[in-house]
Amino acid sequence: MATTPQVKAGDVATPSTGVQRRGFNLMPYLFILPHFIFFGTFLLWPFFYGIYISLFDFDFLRPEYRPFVGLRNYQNLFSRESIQFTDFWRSIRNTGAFVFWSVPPLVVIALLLAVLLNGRFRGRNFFRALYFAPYALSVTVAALLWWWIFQPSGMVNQLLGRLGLGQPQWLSEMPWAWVAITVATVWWTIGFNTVIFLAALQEIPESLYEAASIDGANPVQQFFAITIPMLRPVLVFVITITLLASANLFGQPYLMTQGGPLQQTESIMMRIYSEGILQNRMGSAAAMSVMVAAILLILTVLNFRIFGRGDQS
Amino acid sequence: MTRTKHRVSLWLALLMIMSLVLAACGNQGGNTGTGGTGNTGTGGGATATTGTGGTGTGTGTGATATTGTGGTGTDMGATATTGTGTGTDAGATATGTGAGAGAGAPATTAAPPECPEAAQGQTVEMWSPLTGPDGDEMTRLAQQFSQENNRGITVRHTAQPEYLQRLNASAAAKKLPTMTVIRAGDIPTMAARNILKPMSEQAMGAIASGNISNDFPEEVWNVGQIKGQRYAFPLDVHPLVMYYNKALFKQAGIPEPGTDKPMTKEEFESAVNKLNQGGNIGWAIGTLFSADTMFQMLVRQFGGSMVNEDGTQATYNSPEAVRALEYIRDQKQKFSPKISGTGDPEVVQFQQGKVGVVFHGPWHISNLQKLPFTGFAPVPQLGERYSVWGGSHQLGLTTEDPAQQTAAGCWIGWLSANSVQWAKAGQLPVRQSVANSPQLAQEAAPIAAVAIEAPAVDLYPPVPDLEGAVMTEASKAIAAVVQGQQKDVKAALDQAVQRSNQIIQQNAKRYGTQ
Repeated sequence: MATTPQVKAGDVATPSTGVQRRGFNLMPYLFILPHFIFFGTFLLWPFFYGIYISLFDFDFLRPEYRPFVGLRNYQNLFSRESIQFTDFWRSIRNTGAFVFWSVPPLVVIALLLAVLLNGRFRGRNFFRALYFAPYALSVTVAALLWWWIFQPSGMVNQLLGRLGLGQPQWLSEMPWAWVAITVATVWWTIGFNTVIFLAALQEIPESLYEAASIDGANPVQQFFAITIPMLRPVLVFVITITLLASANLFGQPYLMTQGGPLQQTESIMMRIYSEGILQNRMGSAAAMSVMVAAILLILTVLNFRIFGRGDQS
Repeated sequence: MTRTKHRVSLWLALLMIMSLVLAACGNQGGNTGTGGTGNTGTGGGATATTGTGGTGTGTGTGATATTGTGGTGTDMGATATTGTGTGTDAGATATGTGAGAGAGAPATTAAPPECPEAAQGQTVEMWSPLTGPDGDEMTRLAQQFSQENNRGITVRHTAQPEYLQRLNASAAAKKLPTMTVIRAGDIPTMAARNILKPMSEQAMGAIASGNISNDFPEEVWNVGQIKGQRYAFPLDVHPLVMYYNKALFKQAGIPEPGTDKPMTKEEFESAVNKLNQGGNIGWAIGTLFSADTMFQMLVRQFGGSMVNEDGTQATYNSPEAVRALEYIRDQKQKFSPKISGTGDPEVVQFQQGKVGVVFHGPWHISNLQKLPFTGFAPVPQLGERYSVWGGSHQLGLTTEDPAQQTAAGCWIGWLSANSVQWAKAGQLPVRQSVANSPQLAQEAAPIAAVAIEAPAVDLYPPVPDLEGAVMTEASKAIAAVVQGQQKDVKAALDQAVQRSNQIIQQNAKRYGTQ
């Protein structure tokens, strides 16, 4: 699918630049202008303004006190004596743990669901809508729902009690708090990944499967020999966006556990919110955001390197 | 190849549209849910008001004739008609309560002066953090004032969840309302951050004539006074209430706690020990709010303090504080080791009738008074001195416009004089002439039961971000100790105090205090 576009792009570009080879061509810039206006207003400018803020002791309501502190806000994140150090790195570790535990189910379960929903059976569209439906809820609704279900005497514990099993305090004991948050997140967002996989599955030519079955491959072999390789570009995309979405975890712990017990489910986004909005240390919060952005950028690049290998050949 | 791409992008487009549409539906669903909860609350409030209205109708016949319709309206009119003469008001109150001159007297002191002409026709936009049933009560009072005042002032009340963030954002956009209900701990910060504006002499004059500071507990009054200027006017205090289960008390043969003085340590401990049997929890202690407020209260009761007098040093690692935290840990271990987490599980357990005693904020009154077994009493005195954890709602102005300030002053004066009505929402009127009037016991019995707590409420000194600097760190130590992660109480508190002091020093530099 993505083997030839480089050649094609070159073919198209050469004749058009041939007309005004040396002169400045306004046309392409005009084409991207509408997008660039929004991109600039809502992404580029805030991004650089965030970096700018991170160099100050900044409170937007106190312009009378706004000293330039250079890199001290960053230095604080690496100095054990600062008030930010422990909280910042704990929340980074927490977020890392959540990414580690939530991305595999979000990708694997979504893929399996997509394969099932791609089959031919009665009421297929109904089930497709059903599995996608939770994604349409706001995070508040989804988190509140699971907050109820995981209450000490909530649905889950009632069921466990009937089965004669232990009844953990889901939202205030480790590691159960993470289990609860992960379950809520998977239930809530699985539909999105499923739909993307489903769309990609439908693009795999039927002839490949026919050929494979003539060669005597069973469905499992077909899955690993055809489906997975054909899905590779989409898989990289899905893993990347899931990774980013999980790293941006905020609403679920904010509503379900308030970061507890003992801040062990406090995600990095909650920490930045607390630092900047609740405690009015916006410079420091901006520095944290820049650090997180850098970490995520590195992760994304790594992800493309590892899973995307062979895609360019 | 192109067809393939088209189909993928078609899918994606469809997906995005669908998610947008459904997300909108989802949000609406959420809103409906919240509204529903709020409404239930109002229902309870309305019932109470109607009952009181009945009392008013019985005696104040003249008033009933004029209003005609709702019992509520009648009663309110009788309490303090926002007419012109102060004399009339006092008379009306006396008739309304039927208590004679004794009841009439305090209302006369509280009645506001005539609203100045400058306030004519103003619209007062008021925000608040009152998102529960208390917010509905406030809206009702605002509507009543809008109808009754003779200057054509309209007051519009909007409850804002996360009201501080809203105020911050509006300040940045230069779209602040006229005024806001503000929590006492937020006053110094919001004044330093240019959101609260000093109250003008005209505004203060419209609230009350003469010096009325001695009508308020000293701490509650002083927290609104910063660098010689007044930034907030006290409306109420909300102290911890001791909710107890009457049925369980009776069953265990324990006399119910009185409301004129707190239980002593011996009385209280013997009671909760007796209650702690047969699968019942004698004393429910949670984590988070429950543990945090109890710690602050017991540190002070044991003779220690959270911060020094001028708010420049955290002091909650004193021997008294260590003793307080050890006490909380041991009692929690003994009575309710399993109650923890968000959503006030200690109160949920109480609602199920399995808890003897629980301390919590008065905002639970409106729900708990629907249960037949709930009793209300002041929290006990467990240490050498009597101190109660509490907060205070105050009224602050967010505009410098003179006419707006004056109009807001008229409304604040009326609200303060009528804070008995506000007490129905579960808040303790802070104006002593109102809090001590027999009317309070009639109109809002549960909150009147804890009236002796008001002077015992200790607040933080008015230093910007002080409470945050103390409690963000203290609550980590409290949680670690109470949940058994940290055995060395002294070390946990030492570390937290050191970090609190670090933040306090940074704040002092940022806000230019000291």
